Amino acid sequence: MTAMVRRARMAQRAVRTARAAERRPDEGAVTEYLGFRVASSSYALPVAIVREIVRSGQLTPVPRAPPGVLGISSFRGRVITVIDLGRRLGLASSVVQPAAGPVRVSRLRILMLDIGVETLGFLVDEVLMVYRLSARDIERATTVGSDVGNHVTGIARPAESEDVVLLLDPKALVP
Amino acid sequence: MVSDGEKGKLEFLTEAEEIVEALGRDLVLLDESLRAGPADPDLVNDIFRGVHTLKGLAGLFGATHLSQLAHELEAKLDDVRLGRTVVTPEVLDVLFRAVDMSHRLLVAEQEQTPAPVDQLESLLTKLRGSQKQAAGATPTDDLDLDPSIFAVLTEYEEHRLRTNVEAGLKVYRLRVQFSLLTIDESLDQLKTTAKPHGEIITYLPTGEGAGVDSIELDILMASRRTLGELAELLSSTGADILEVPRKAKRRETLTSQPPPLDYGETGRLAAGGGDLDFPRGTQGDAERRPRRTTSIPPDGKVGSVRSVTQTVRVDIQKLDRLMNAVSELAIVKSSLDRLFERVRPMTSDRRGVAELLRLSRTFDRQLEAMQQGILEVRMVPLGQLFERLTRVARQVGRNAKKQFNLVVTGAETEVDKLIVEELSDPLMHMMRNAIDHGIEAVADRIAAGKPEVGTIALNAFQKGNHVLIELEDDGGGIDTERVMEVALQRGLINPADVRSTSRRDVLNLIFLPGLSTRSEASEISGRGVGMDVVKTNISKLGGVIDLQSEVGIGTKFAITLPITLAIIRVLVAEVERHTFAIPLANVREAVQLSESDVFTVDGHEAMTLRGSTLRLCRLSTIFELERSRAAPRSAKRFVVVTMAGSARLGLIVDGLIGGQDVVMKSLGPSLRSVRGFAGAADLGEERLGLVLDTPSLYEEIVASDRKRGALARPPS
Repeated sequence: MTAMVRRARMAQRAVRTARAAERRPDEGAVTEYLGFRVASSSYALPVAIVREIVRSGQLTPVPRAPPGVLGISSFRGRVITVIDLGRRLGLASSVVQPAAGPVRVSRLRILMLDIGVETLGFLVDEVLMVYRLSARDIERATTVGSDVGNHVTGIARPAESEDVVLLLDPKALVP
Repeated sequence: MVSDGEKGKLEFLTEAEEIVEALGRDLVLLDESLRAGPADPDLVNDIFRGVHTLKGLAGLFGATHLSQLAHELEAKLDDVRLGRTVVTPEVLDVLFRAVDMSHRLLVAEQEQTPAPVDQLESLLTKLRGSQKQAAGATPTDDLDLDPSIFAVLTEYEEHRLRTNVEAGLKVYRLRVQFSLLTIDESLDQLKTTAKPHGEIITYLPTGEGAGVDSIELDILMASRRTLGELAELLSSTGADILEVPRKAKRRETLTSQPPPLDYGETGRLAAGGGDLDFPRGTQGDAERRPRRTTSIPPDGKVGSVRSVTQTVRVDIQKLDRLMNAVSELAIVKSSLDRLFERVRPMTSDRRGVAELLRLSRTFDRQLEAMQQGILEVRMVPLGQLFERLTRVARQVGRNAKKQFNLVVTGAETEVDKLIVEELSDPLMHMMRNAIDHGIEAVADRIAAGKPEVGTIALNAFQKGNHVLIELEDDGGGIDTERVMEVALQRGLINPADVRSTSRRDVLNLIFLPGLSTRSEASEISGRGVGMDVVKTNISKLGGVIDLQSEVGIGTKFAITLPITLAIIRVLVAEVERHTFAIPLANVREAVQLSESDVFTVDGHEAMTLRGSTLRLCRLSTIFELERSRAAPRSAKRFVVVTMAGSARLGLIVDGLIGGQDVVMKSLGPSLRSVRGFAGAADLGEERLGLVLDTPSLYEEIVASDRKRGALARPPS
């Protein structure tokens, strides 16, 4: 149910974004990106790989897991690995509580992404909106410093956003 | 989603694989029957039909290589069944190889890998070559048979008739009437009754003498029995039996004198006319002899036209989904129960409460029945796997020139389908080892005063919730001194530990990577790659492998496995607010820990339990769990005694929560590198618990001890 509501909201936003795009003709092929916030920056990933956005539920931490792995969670009968995107990007963790015992991260969201053969969950601070971006809106990333640089494929300045949005490479997010 | 094409292909692969399996089985039977005497013609014909069907299937699905192979194999088998080729061990060998190749081609097809074309070519050449070794056929002219019979006999049937006449058997004609409704069963029954007394060459409808709902058949049978004996033996079938006499003279009577035939002695059940009256309509095309013209489908198609058995093939993933749904249902049910308990004090409707409780109990019972049902569906007998092993053993034995008898028991023991699949490679490898490294050459056996022919026993049986598979040989056994020597050479063991290492521990060294005691590695068993893989594969299944070996007497491997992977019973334990599930299959007991009993040996903690030393492992340490402030240091802890083979390991936990049946699910690929966990299980209330992989934990501890020992005392 909640997923449907969310989808509907996303669709609404997409329509709004599309209208915004209409005002700027001559755009070329447009790809949809889902924007979200981690720490204080905005990021985006192709909508095509987003399977679902869920409120974070019960997480079971996994000892010995690679850094950035928050734990596992049950999602539609399957065991999904959930990753702290903030830590994965070398930024501040979205989880305040240290990883002992079931972690509750209730106001955050988990993006269920299809990456390669696996569905992985990524914890983000906030889901923003869907951006429709054409090649023109995207600058190739060459000089983004720090750890984030390895995960970023491009930088966009969508008309709807005042901030710069960093486009992430999904494959580089797998631990 | 799977497209229709893929689905069709999947069905083709499954069906083809089944045929290939059956072929292998029949070849093993043929091999056995050949040792006892001449080949059973029915068996040869069954094999031929199987290959024929396989050829058709392969052609239909464009599996060119397989179709090519089946074609040549069919030609070869046709020669065999028509007596043009004698089944020598060499021929049998080629047949076995062809079956093996079919299997490999199917695997290649399934995995989309290139087919082993070179090997296929050489096999095809082998199949084509060395034909027509048998003597030319002798005519059946001296048999006083209606020429119209020959017109409808297939080449194969004619060959069988000829062979029997040559062997001095008498030919009989049995006339029977069957109800159309029950013809299949009746015919089968008749065949079963008649089989011990001779060979049924053909059966054809007479086309007369029957009512609307029945059919009259003439059955041509060859037998050593006299007419009187046969009539007595087959009296239950209600058949009318006549002997087909032989002619004193040759051909001319046959050509000059058309039917009706002159039958000799008439059986006591004889009634009505004695004409061997075959449907004339089929006479025309005598050159290309038609197959049977009855309602019975043409050769090789019996299985595909009408379903013989009442079974359904199901993809195991569908069963997994079903199992998932059932476990979700169980979780919903427990939530409902909790809700009910909460609401209960607020209601005064006693009758309603009683009714709800009753319904709830029924629900639980049905849910359990459902789980049990799905589990049963997943179970398959080990027989198929054992047959494949028998085939491999035969092949390996021939190549290694070893003589042995393979004794198989417990093939009917049932195990989860997935376990059977995963067990295949480890057992193949162990079988190869037993033949290659275990059984000695004949000369050595004689010198050792052992029977010339070795024995390999493959046993399976159920023991509680486990299945035990044992592979035992009466070969040379494992030379522990040699193992120790190699282990020292390769630095797998510390020289200082040599004295203190028990015999058992030395034997267990063979499970380490890179240990092969044979000076020269053979083509069959390879170079010490193997037993470590075998052990890993088996522990992945939640099983353990153990071995005993005595030099000169033999080696025995014992594999203990859970019956099913889908639902396991676990002991839920808590450590520093983490919840872990320990498979009960690996748990021997749980005892309360008093820290004062813990002592230190060689830098690791241990305690004495029932007179022997128990190695301890603190889960909080090995998993580096952060100490929670909630649990006071003085709290009572427990030791869960787990088993890894015959070794024990005590896991120290903070608290025991209880036993639970859980559905185990695997961790995702991103966590594949994390060791120590077999998977995760839903413990209810959407809470996942990690399931410990105790054999791997034990391995880890032993390995780290060894490493630490080697560091502390570097070899001098």
